[in-house]
Amino acid sequence: MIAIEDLWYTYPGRNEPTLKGIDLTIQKDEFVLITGPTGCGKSTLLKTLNGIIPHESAGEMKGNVHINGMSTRDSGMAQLGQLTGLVFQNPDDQIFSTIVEDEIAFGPENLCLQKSEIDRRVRESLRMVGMSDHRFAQTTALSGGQKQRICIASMLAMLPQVMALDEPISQMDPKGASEVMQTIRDLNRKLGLTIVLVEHRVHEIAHLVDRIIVMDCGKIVLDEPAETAFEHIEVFRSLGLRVPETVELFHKMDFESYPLRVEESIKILRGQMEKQNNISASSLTTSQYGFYTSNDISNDGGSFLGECNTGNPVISIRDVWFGYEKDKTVLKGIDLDIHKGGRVALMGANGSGKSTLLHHLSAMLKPGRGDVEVFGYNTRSKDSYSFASKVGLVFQNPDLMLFCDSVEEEVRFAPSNLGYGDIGQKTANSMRSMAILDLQHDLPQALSRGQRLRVAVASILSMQPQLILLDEPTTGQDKMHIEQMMDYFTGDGTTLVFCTHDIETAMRYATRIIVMSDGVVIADGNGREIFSDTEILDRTSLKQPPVMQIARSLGFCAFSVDELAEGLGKLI
Amino acid sequence: MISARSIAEPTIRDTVIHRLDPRAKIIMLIATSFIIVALDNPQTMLLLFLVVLSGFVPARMPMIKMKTLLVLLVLVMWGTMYSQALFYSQLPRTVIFTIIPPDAPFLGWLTHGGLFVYKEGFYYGAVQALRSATVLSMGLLMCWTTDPRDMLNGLARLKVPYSIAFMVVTAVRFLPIIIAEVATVITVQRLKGFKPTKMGPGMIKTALGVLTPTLANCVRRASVLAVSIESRAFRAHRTRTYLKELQYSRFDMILIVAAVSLTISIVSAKLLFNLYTSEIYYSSELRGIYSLARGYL
Repeated sequence: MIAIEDLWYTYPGRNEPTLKGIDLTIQKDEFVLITGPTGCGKSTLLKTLNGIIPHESAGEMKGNVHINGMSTRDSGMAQLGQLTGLVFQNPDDQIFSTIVEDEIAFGPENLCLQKSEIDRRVRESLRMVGMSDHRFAQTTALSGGQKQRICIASMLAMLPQVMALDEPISQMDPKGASEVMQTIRDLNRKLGLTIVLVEHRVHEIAHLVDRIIVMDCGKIVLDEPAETAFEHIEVFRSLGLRVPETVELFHKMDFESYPLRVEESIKILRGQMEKQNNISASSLTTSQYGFYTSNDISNDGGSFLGECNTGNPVISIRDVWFGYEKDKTVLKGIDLDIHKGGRVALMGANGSGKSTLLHHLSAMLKPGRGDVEVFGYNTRSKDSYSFASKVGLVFQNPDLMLFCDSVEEEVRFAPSNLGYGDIGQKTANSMRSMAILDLQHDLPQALSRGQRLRVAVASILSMQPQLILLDEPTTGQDKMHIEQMMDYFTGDGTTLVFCTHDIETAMRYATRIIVMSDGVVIADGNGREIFSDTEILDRTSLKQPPVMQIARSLGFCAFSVDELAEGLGKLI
Repeated sequence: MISARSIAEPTIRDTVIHRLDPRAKIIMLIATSFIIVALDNPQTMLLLFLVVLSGFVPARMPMIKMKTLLVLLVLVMWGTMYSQALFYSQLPRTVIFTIIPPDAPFLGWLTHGGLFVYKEGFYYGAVQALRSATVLSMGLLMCWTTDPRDMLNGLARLKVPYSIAFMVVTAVRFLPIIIAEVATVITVQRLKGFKPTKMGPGMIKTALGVLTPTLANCVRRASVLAVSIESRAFRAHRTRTYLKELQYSRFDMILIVAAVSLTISIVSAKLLFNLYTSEIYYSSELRGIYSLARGYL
């Protein structure tokens, strides 16, 4: 279906090619995942599949790309568009209609199809993505996952043979991401659609794909079926890519095969346990084999959490109600205290009020009712300027935070305004901590998304705020940079509040997790408490990490790969 | 952020105004523009303005939109009236009060003999303001009561090239998002210790600082949207088909006929009257029309 021969591509104004001699063949019906660190060329490769490169790009392309025998170089965009549907990261950038039906019908209408055929395609596309009930819904009223499914449906209405998706779930909560991935999987299996998916969240989707391709520096460094790809775990680790927890577990326990699904892992482990102990796994008890229980395990933060929850709070939120519109309340009576040095993760589904709450902490929004006090000052009587130097906020979209001509200027901007001394040192330290020192002369807006986010973070670190607020800091970042960023915050002792959908990051770095649903705090505790409570998880878009699911299914309690491997090691 | 969207996006309800065919609304907007330009009589202009304003009552617009309308009308009307009052150059003119006396040191010289507010200027400004306010109100009523898809369809059916209609409607749709982004950038600057509203060179710095990220974001969004619609065969053929058919109701037809007839009548009457006053053409049989134009138009 797709044949790429010796493909080289260089963006205009750059000397170094982004793609360096890619050779790749993808069969019909295959579901291929392309992954790699930020800036490795995976999104660029995707753009060659429907002719954006070379037709809509001024760069230099060498080599050939054939889709179903048709050369992308010699075919027009409209022709290629019908062959390859392209779905991007942010659905809000792709949807322009106000009504779902119009968005789906747009393509078939452009093809001058008969009204009855357009109607049929709209109906079928919506059915295929499970959105038939939303045909006449307002696009603005849909959730992130639903919007992305509408984007997919609008491409399906063109009846493409290949669907190329560029990080379609990176901004979604786990439930929305799961909905979208299941839809894509069904399209592949039931319709025989060839799927090429670019994604960082390998650990969440590896079990759904047929084949995994890893890229680095414009080249393919690994191309293996999904079942065997993780036998080369060192490739993933060296590039800072996440691997599924099941793979981590089985690798740690020196198994030879690495199951990708939780159910499969449980089956293998249960079989091993029964074989080794000659008893039924279900009859094992926790105390017998020294497993952890939820009662006797202290939080990762342990005593640190205790310290963090005492003394005068840095943030005090009292009965806060807020709505952007009169009849749509987003925050409903929030009461919280956040203490110095805490690392607090705000979790919950898209639209649960996390970002709105975060914006209240920087006085960007004022409560409709109730009070927010930050460092003892009521935000009602202060504007954002009053909190400069004390509070650093990084938005979900870092692009709106970058307005200088170089990375160094950007990082220097805040301390210069605030009249700090030793600005050079502060700037250099901030850039070093976010691993962007080598980019200091680059134009911030011209960097990759992951790099732009790190520049935005460095630009607030340079004013050494006592409270740091991050809105989805892991979006579009690879594991290495997530760890680098979060390790920095763990070490520097500032108070950190961050919104995230990333369960692994929250579990590992947050001393406290606050779960929100429909504008209300429904759970507040450490990661172990929160993720042990399946009732709370059911009420939100969260789900237990695979390792906890495995442990629970085997009748034990473990919260990390290390804990489970250690416990199981005594049995197997 | 949401407020900007609440103001700019249409409020879709089931009212007599909302149910009007988008083509009827576009034609009525064009007709209103012609009529208000042709009219000179302040009373008739005021009447037309009030008729347009009364359209907001059955449309049941939310309070935030009505407040926005009021603010815009006050700004437009006061701005036009005051500027005309200051810079009115025709004679005769009556000074109401003096802002800069002619003998004021330097400023008197700079303003070529002082700066005054003229009564005739206010009156002339009021007439111009009524023109702007009427078209503004009609335009807002149309935009706030019409779904963008219907507007797009309406424009396309009125033979506006589809690609142009698409670009216009899409630009309008993304406008509130851009406004919200500008507000975000200014907040970011504040949080980085910069006072964006400080007068002086800081204003230029602010403007440049706002422009860079907002434009970069617009370009990124536009390029994604462009690729997305190109992938869906946008402009692949010279024509296209439509899933949703627009159909005029009897009421739409009556309104269109009335609006077009009224426009033709008023413009023709004014034209004939101007030909008569310019001594280019006169007919005694048209005395009734001259009288109507002189008295009411």
